[in-house]
Amino acid sequence: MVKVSTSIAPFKGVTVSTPTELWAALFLRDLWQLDVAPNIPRCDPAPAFAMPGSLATEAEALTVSEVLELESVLTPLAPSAGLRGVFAAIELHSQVDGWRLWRDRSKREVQRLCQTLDSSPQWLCRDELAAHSPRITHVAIVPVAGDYSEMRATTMYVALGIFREVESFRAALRANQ
Amino acid sequence: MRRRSVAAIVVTLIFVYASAAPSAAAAEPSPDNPQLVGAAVVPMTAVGFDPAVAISNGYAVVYDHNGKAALSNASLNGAQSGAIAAPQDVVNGNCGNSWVWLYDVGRLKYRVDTGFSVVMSAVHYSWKATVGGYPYTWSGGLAFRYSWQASATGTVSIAGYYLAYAYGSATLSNGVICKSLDPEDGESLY
Repeated sequence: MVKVSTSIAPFKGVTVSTPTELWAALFLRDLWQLDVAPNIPRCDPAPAFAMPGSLATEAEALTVSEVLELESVLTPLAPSAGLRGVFAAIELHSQVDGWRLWRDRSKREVQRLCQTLDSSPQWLCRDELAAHSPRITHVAIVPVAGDYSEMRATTMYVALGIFREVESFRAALRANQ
Repeated sequence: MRRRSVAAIVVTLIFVYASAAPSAAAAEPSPDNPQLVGAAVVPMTAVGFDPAVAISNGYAVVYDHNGKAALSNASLNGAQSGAIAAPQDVVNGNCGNSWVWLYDVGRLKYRVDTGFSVVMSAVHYSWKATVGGYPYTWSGGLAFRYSWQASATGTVSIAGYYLAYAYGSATLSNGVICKSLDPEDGESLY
């Protein structure tokens, strides 16, 4: 019976995701320059605006604000009526094309970073994840600038800018242990 | 007054949006059925071993007293022994990386990208992806490539939130069958 052993820690299957509804809310927040969710930095790159200068109505701004301030917005819960309201507001202001372009561009960047085996940040950090961050099972990429990272339950929400840089990602892992 | 009327419009829009939820889309999300966080990129793991493939590619195979086949130690170089061995003797449980990404193209059209990378050359694959339950399948030889990917396009009948899943496996040149841990990705399609 052949046995092969190794000292490499078992890979526990950290997954990477792109939280669509949150992107929609951030898109409108930055489009309308709303002063909500200040702990989440502004989107970077900036969303492409189909109709520059559109102003949020009071009710729509309230809806987006509710979404972003919602305690559960960063947890894998159901899209609420508020989230649906964000999509409705995007459609109301004919921002669908701009939102789609920005979202696809950001998502494509995440895809590019994840696609190459042994070069994407989460793979390079997998031993560190296995050894020192056992409670992290999901990494959700938020398309914002700055050094934003936050731990909610077993998911670490991290800015695309951090995820792009291996050392920054490693530092975020340590900070969220 | 203005606020109330605007709010009424938004509430109406919310109702219309909610009413337009597609029947083919995934079930209503809940904490037990999360959708906000998809698993677009997941590892692959060794689940089987085809000794015929290993032998045909020059690997030595040994059998235990129960007739169970495994790669000979002599067939594994240092990097391989640190990364993967025969199933049941799984070293790392990790032989690759698989993904699926769902894109909203617009006008109810979508594109789904899926594929995998494995830690050593592969000779065959079998892959399936679904979008809103609609299946796409691929299979064939890999000619010792380390990766494979494909795209498919389609149209949904009604706007809403859809999930894409991918399943499949690749047979590595050393005979190990490397299976995806089934990535998924969600997207709102308009």
